[in-house]
Amino acid sequence: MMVRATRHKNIDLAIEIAGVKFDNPVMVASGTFGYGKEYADLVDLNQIGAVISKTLTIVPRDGHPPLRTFETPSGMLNAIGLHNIGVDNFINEKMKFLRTKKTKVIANIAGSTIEEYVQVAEKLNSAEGLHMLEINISSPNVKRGCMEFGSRADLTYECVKAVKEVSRYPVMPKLSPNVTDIVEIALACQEAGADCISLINTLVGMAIDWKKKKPVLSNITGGLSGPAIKPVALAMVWKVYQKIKVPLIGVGGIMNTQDAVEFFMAGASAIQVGTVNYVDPQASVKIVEGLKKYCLENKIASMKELIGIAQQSPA
Amino acid sequence: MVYQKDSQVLENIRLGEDCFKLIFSAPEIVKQSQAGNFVHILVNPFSYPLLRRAFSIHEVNRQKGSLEVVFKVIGTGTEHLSRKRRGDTVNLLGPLGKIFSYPDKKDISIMIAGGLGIVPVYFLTRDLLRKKHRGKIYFLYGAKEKEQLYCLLDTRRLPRKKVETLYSTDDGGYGLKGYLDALLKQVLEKEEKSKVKIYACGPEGLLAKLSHLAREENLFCELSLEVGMPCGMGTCMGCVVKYKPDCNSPVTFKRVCCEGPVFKAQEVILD
Repeated sequence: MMVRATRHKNIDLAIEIAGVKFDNPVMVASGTFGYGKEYADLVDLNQIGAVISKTLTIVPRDGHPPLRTFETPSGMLNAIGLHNIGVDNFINEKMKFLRTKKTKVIANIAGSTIEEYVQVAEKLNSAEGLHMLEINISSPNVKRGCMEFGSRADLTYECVKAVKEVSRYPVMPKLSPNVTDIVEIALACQEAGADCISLINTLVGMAIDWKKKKPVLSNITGGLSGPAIKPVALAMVWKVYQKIKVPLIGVGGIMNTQDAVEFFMAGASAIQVGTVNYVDPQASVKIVEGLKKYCLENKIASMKELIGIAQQSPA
Repeated sequence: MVYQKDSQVLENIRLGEDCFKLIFSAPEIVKQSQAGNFVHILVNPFSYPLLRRAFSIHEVNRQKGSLEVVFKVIGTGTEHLSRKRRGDTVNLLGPLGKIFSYPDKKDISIMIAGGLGIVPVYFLTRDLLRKKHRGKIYFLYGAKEKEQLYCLLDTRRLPRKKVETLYSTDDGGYGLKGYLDALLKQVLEKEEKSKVKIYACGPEGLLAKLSHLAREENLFCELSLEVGMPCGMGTCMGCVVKYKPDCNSPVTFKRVCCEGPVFKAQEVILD
């Protein structure tokens, strides 16, 4: 049985971010939900605030050889290497299905060069039914592009500005936690015209096979995700919220309603759920339901009341 | 259709020192299940271990709506699962994955079951028998030693008139002393190769050998692969295998969870 949003109908979780009106503030994170249709048997996409596509590149990519993933305590490492169908196939094959759903659609984009980011963004201008771009300047698993840009404020600025200039959609850079000062990167995004910012992507980590005496992942290092990184993500949302005006979308280890609420309280206007989709494909819809219940029980009329509320009374 | 269902444990049967058979009540999943499918099991609802564990389906009872999985305790996930008792509830996702291409009545089926690789080919055999399949079936079952032929009770019950069951153990404690490929050679000598359909699952070394053999001798051979899978639904791109459908194609990657776990032996590259 799909989880149905019927019990708390009177609570409105709708939120507007960068001019896009989301039915609720729960999004499914890039790379954890395919292109949406994969989960259609199990999840009613009409009930999710937004579906964020797997990272799209200008031409399809094959990614890294196996092994690509490995489970760690309360988390997992991945080094997929941006294995994706390419932006053209996304527009021609995947948007048709997504357009039929009430969920908002966000395309996550990347390239090896800033020119490639721009090319992908330009192509997506023709995609009917799309609502926003998420700019991947944070995947730690490719040699060129992504975290190469997102770990330097000047390159972050250049990349975000270039995409913003050509795109007809609001843009949302996704930040890496693997930086000395994430606030500096967020400021660069804001200056470059970012409409909102999502944070965080995965943390660089590795695993060693002690029997084979070698790294587990073919890429040697990978990105750590899952509940293990939630405190790190929460702290970064907290810090960035204090200096940044554009809305923040919190992501990192959110497993349930309580985790989600904590991110709103730290300063997020919306949240993304990622790794938990593998554990419970219906987690996003359950969190939507949970938020409604939470608002009802705590007499919260709008999600806006919650955003950054914990900042007002630091311990 | 894929279902996500809280499923009750009907029975937990110990098959050996560290090997267990769990029987679940999962009518919707069972209804749709065919040989080669797997279920993705949430071993507990907490965050450690975090991810689901994938298990091929060993057998179903379509009247009762129950399915069986067989596993060895190899880590925290399987350890948790081994402690499940009758009445416990476990979340199942399934049926998932591509199935074997079932043989037709003119074909000679050769099942190759290496250790716990018996699981999907046993299901195929049982399903063929249920469907009153008329073609000849060989069932080759091997392990290191007799104690690790965990499903001996199941294979001994296969009807002799319909299934010719042959065994091998590395130490010769049961059946032929040696490996399964030696048994396969014996069978292939007797049968017309163009009619043979081989279905196999087992340790990587065995499957790699079969992959080479299938390529060299141009045999019909399907392998069920086993890898760790975070999502099981084709979204994480984490469970890939090297794929090269013919000598002119470049090596690409296929997802074991949804483009497999059953692959043509010639088309995958196993190191």
